Amino acid sequence: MTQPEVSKEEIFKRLRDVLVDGFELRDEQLVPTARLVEDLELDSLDLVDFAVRLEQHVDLEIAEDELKAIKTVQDIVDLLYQKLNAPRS
Amino acid sequence: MTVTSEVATTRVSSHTAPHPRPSWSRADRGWRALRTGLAFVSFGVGALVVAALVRLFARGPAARRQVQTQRIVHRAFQFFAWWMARLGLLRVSWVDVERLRRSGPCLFIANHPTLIDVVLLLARVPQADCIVKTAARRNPLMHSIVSAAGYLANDEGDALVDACAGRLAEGRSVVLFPEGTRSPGGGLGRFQRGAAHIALKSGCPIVPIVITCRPPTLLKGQRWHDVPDRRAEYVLRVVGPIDPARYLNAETPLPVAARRLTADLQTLYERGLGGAHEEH
Repeated sequence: MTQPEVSKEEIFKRLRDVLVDGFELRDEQLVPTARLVEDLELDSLDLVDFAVRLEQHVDLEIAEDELKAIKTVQDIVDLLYQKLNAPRS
Repeated sequence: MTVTSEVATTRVSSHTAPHPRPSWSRADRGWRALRTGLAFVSFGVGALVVAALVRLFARGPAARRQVQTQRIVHRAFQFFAWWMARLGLLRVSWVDVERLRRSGPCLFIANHPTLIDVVLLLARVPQADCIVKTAARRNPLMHSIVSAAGYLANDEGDALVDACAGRLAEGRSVVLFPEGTRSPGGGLGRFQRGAAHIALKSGCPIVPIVITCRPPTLLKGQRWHDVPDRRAEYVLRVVGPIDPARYLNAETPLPVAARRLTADLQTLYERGLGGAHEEH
């Protein structure tokens, strides 16, 4: 049986929860184009913590090079969409 | 308690001087630049002497050798601060200096208005690990001392937080500048969150030191011979320790605690320097 596809809207909502609860960011800051470092002011320590929280939240592993490639909120949504909806063996 | 209470408050300005004597002022400035140059040369010669002393006297296992080196650096910086004062280049006053004397390890933090802040801090604290720029580590004069003292490199990223917390766990104090570099234009730069993360991770108290220097000198980007028209008056004020545990509880995630602590530290310094900047 194939799993129902997780929409990008659903992913964005879950991501927003992680960022608001874990980093005290405001809802209005969390637009898809927001850059993690420049706009949301996440530093390198935050990014590591963020990856851990995200992994716990979505039960997925994020590789270091995948984390490095993430620049914006939309990048995370796209990455998670791709991972969550990839066929699992 | 103020260690040296006499802090110059008179300001000399070419705009307010009733009878400006530009030629005398130029000569005076030239003489001051010469003495500043002498101080720089002394620093270089001193580094060679310190390197030799370290080679002779700092022995044993790594941790012991590092602490011994730090004590030699402490004595050398005491001498250098005294020498700069003798040359008439600066006067240093410490306020509430007794707050530096603590039984356990702590994280000393300071704003970084001038080139020699670290000299003044390490001249007062007998043992402190500090964080050194890569350029200083590569400097042939400094390399052997920095390496023997076990000072940490500032390009180690996240590992630096672990390294600093590790030193504190070993009972060693750490000095760092939360701005990460010298303050812009004698003001205050934005604090990075590393200091907060180190304190939260180690549980050690933060002891802030607010540094003011008037007239501003040895600023970021300023050339050594661009000297002020009078002796620089440094005031280093020690603020009561901050317990990082206050920021941690079951409901507060670590990044949030680090953000709140950093914001409070930034506010503390803005307030501490606010009055100073108004005066200036």
